[in-house]
Amino acid sequence: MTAGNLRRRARAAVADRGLGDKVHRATLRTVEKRAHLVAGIPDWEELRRRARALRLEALDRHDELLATFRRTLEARGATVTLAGTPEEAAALVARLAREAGRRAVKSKSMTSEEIGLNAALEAAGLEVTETDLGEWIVQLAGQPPSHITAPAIHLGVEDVARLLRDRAGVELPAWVERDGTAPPAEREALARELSLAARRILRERFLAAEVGITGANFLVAESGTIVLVENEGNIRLTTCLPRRHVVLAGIDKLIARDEDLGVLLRLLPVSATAQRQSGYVSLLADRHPDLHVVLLDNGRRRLMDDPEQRDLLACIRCGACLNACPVYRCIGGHAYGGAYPGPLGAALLPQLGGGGRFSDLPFASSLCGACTDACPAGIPLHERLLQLRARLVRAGAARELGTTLRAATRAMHDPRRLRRALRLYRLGRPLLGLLPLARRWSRSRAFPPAPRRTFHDEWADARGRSHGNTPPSPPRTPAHDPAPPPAPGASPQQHSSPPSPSNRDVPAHDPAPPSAPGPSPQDLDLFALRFRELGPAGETEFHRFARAPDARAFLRDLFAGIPADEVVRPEAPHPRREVRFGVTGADALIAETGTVALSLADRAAALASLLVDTHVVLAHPSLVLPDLATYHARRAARPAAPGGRLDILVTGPSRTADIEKTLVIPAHGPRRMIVVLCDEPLDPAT
Amino acid sequence: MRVGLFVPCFVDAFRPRAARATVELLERLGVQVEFPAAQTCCGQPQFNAGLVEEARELAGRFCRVFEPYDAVVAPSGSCVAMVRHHYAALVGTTPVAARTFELCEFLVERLGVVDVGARLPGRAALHVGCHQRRELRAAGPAERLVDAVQDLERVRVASDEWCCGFGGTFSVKFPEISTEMGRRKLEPIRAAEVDWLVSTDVSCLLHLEGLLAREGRDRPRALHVAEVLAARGAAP
Repeated sequence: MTAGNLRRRARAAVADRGLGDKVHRATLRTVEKRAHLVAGIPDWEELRRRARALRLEALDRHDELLATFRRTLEARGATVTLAGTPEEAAALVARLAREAGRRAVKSKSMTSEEIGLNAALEAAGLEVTETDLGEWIVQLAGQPPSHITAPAIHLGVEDVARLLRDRAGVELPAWVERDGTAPPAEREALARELSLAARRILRERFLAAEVGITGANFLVAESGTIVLVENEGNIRLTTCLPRRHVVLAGIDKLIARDEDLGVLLRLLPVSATAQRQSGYVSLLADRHPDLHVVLLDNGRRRLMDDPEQRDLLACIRCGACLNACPVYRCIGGHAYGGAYPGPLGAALLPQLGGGGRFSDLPFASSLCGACTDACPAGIPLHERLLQLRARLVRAGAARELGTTLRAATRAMHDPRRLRRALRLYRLGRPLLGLLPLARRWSRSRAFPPAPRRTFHDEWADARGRSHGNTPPSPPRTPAHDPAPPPAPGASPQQHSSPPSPSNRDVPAHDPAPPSAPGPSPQDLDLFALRFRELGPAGETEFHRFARAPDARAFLRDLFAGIPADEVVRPEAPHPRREVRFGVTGADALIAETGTVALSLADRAAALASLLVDTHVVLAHPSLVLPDLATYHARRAARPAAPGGRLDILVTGPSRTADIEKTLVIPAHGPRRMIVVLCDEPLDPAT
Repeated sequence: MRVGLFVPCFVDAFRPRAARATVELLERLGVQVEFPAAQTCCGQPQFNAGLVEEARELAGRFCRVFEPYDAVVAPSGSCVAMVRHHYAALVGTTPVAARTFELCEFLVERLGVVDVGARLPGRAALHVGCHQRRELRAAGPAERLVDAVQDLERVRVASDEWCCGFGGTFSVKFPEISTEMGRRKLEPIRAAEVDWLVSTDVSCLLHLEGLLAREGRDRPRALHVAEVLAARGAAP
């Protein structure tokens, strides 16, 4: 890739106003929601600081952590293989998948984009299905994702409808047929219909697949835990249904301790999707009979030793820097030309394997610093871009404008010479348009007006005389300080008359109020509140009973008239098809986020909370914990059984917002959740 | 207190009236400024283009020229951010960098003035340059000063905190992106039908003003914040 190509792609992207509109709408919505959430998290800056520190510590201790992780997983019967290059990694995953069968389901993984995995899998004779809704949509479109956490952000609901018409039997509404527009309510209804159609189709693929391929958000070295974060439930199905599970992740995903998750898993959902907690967090440290982990280097190990740039590997792939970036919002993700778009991609891609192609990316930034402000891991992204520019120039990999700027620098060593050069602007301005470089400015922007004299000249002549006598009158253009060229046909008077003050009401742009700090409600009340908030239309029910007979009566009513094989009781085997009710206990209830933590024996046990229409949780109120940090600290302190452990954090029904950010429940998992708390012991088996 | 005035090269060349307004304003507030003629450029264009050695030379020059002053004031948040935020990496920690201030910062934080006695009728959108906002963390002083201008209503718009798209050499290296960013930035400003587009940075203004001029618009008119703060009411 050359500068010309990047510029050409950017030019094409910018010319497509619809693209910019879509990306602006979606990203700004997330930015606003996120800011609202962050305002209610008093220790946000402290969390960012801790995240940065623990991610850098993991880089410092990388070799040791890698050895520990490998040892731990191998002791549980898994394989762990290090791949140096994308080609090696793709070949490895393809072989592991092909050994298991012909049908692969895959959850979203940027690392898999980095290695071109889908092409390698298909070349090996596999049928591979992306199962994240947005990712499946771009797979059907034959495109790469254009955003780290919102892959189909560049597509409108009408684009998705056309993609699904043949595959899902979706009928196109009239407004799509005639390339028209529709009011938001109709667009949302269509997004919902399409999301539910995707659920039906992908369900078949999950049940048929022999191998499930996932990425990883984090890999915890001390416990050998694979951490996966999602909303839809597709990752849980990918890890629970197929016989073989293959994990592909960069070596930078390692972290030292389980406790670190108390920091990272608070920052990630807020930053990625503006949620307090994502729908599902899988903490996989179980003794899986057929688990394989492929770890990709591709330049990361070298980058870890780079004292200036290593903190780029502290990235947690939340996409907040993309949402915050005005360049990304204007050109979308595809123009970057690599797996990682936005500011992170611009800094990281040139430093990974084959990075030479991306040497122009660090220059495609206005260095506004919005990415640096947004980064939950405290990476000063725009400063990394600056450093990279210096390196690329030093290495001779970028030199555009260098000659001009070097000449300017020489002039800047001599004030008189600089003055002469600046004076030349006035004389040369009419001819400037002949210079190709100047035309790059003037094609869309007028040249700045040419004042008669520079400030330097004025000062030199006039000092001693007062400047205070001639205050500039902004509304009028001072005669010696020409205004921009007047609009065609506009009379000069229009310029010089001052605008009258207006008393019109201006819609105030009120920032969203931060959540009231107020007196902290009891943890249980907070849990009930936050849990209920998760299901906007009665999809989450919370019930508390003092006495066991009352709770039993409630459950009897709930299951009345439901065939016995439509209710999966705790400890009972799941039939591997969707049933009406799945009943589980809980390991903890987390007040801060309304999360139900499950501790499971194995992956099959996960289906009762997954392949069901309604997930019913029976638990004792004493299980409530104040927050995620407490949960993760407690989990870290509990020794794992020799057979490993499997914890799932469930925060509300399964959901997706991959089509135009329209929230659709359910995605791949349950539609409804009911939490039943009982102060008296309740034997769930009855 | 000896106060040195730094007039960045593009202010000098393209918008000298912003520098004049700065002097006027400071003198009106009783601050006598000196203008060392040996000054040239802070080195930011070079630094941002990856020309570190060239930037280092200019940073050294800036520090020598302004060494004698107790405070350095510049009508440009971007250049001040270069000096205060990035000089340490080029020439080490220097006292000159620590006492260099953007004009609004200087007025509010050093002089303790918020109402400078300015009057300008109309409605204005304020664009605080990104380096002032995010590197200096000094959007507040500019906002307070503009809010205190008599007869001027500051209108908040959705794009207040967005980059204008100028970005130095970025504006000619990727002109299409730069232009699109500017247009997107201007959309809510135009929709708000303000009279003035005020900025703390001349560089941002030249870019936005150039875009507006090409659209054939006479409103809003672009003003540097010093011009607003020096204004004494509407001229006919």
